[in-house]
Amino acid sequence: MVSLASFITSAQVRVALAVLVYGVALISSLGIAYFYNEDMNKGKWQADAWMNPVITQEEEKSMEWVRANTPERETFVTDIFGGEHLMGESLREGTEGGDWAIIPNVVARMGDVNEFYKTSDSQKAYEIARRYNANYVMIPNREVFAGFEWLFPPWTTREGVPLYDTQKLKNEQFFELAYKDGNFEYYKLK
Amino acid sequence: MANLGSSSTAHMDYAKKGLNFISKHKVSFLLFVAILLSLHTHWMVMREWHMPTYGNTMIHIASARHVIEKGDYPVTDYSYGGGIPNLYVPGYRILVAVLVLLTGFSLDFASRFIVLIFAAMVPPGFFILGKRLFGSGIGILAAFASVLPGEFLIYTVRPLPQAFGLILLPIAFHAFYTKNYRAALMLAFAVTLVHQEAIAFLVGGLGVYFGFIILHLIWKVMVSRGFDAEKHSALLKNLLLGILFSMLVYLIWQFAIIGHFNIFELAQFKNHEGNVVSMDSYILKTGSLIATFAMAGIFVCAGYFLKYAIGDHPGIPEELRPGLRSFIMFLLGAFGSYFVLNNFSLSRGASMISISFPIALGPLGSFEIGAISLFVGLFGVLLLKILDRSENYLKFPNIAYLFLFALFFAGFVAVKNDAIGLRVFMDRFLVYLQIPLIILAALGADSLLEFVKEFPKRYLLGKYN
Repeated sequence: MVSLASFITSAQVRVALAVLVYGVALISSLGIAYFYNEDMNKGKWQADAWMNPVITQEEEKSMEWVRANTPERETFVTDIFGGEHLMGESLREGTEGGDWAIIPNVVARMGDVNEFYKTSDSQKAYEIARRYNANYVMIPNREVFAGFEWLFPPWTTREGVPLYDTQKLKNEQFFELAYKDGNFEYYKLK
Repeated sequence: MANLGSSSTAHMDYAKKGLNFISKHKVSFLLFVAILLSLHTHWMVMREWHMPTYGNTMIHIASARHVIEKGDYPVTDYSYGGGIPNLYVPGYRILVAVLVLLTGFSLDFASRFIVLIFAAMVPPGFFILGKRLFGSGIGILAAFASVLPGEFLIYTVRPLPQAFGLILLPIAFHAFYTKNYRAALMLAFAVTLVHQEAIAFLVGGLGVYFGFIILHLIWKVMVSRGFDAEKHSALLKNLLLGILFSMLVYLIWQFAIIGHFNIFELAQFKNHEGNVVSMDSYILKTGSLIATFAMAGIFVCAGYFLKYAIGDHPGIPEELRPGLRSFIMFLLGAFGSYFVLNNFSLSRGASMISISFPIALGPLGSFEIGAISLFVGLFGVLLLKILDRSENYLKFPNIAYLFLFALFFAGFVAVKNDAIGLRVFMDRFLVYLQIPLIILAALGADSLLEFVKEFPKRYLLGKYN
């Protein structure tokens, strides 16, 4: 067999090279242990971003009121997180949130609900809510996400971010306040 | 002093007994450590005041709550204003409801508890698959590797049906590979009713394996080697049965719920849900260690296929076969690494390369990439030369490489379906591709270990001369 051993005649040099190979392997294994820890931490860091519950404690607390004051499967105008939390905790439904696999015109629906939160036009908001058979509106005390962009509450201190509008809901021709806990509110459609 | 002496002897005895016990149960001990690591990475699910809501986790809670409160399964979905059939397969939701009914846990706690159960099941699932394919050593490496990919953690740390599907898949693949078809069909049934993407991957993986076996038989006929028709037809028949059964179970469910079989009508297809996977995002979400060692594993698989193909071919003179194989493997190694290095950002790449070579290379230009590619090609040829003579590798059946490569191929096509114009899911399938990648990484790491063990003995110390 042709091997390095045939070319390197000095046994001492061969042993020294073998020791070198083992040494490099040892250092590499330390490197692997280091990168194992690095990769595990990077994985945790990536997953950590998905742990945020997004919904608020006021939102959770409001479920008692929802269950006590609205019929099952009542529809609320919600964003995705609000709608999914609402259905999970109270068996009511949101205009947004859930499995979109067979929802007709689901992308148009997302656009409409996004517009509902953004617009300052009460009548337009009312028409959108009615289009999707909603009788209530959820105004959560957090950012909302209806499929296209994060909209921030009007009282946010962040600058240059898109806001949702709550003033339109003060128009008593279309809406009335049904529940309030700090900045968390439900409105009933008239 | 005498007391101290006897107490220290007693301690030494305990330590010895402990070490003996660990050494006797080495594999179980290492598996236990891997399980602890998995629980450690998944523990974040217990941290917040509410279970994670990203990834539509609460829609499954709605169906589970309905089961608990009404005593039946909701055929009408709560999603997007309701009124729509509840198409999502029900397995995971029913599992959560049953756990709540049996234990009295809240839905929130039950969901997090299930995540921890799944976390404890991740390493054993990969261990049994890796062990069955390539032995205990690779099984243990796979168990440790399963803790690493960020994307795998993202999908198993949230209370989601995907997590359940990802836990069941290695076990289902194990059952199909070991030809335990009764268990395989039961697992396929479970996977089908747990998550749609998981069953797509199971069917895809088995389908590619089926196709590879057919190609293998065609090759055998072409090179005029006989094959055991009875054995192969039984294998093919059972694989086909598994594939058709899984598809049928899902299609029956879909037809029962929405009245048609057309999956391309679903919003995910129509709206091309998912993002393209670049080399950068692949490495970030898979982890540099798994990405590197999986490449070594793919190279080793390719080497074996080539050895088999060239070794069998009557048209190639026998004295040319080793050289031809080495030349092709050199090209594969060199061009493969050249492609990889040119398709992801080098700042991250440098750290990845420094695992393969114990030298920190820093940012590289194209000349250096070329030099490294040549080095990788040559190193690859040397690696296979060592492995070819290693007893360990000779004992692995060819079918193990074929099976693993089939799963990799199915995952790769699913992730890169933008290349064939489909552009659907793509990055959603990365987590499924990571199942074969984890085993490939274990195979690659084990091959490199074998190299380090054998190279000095064979080429420097001349032990085999």
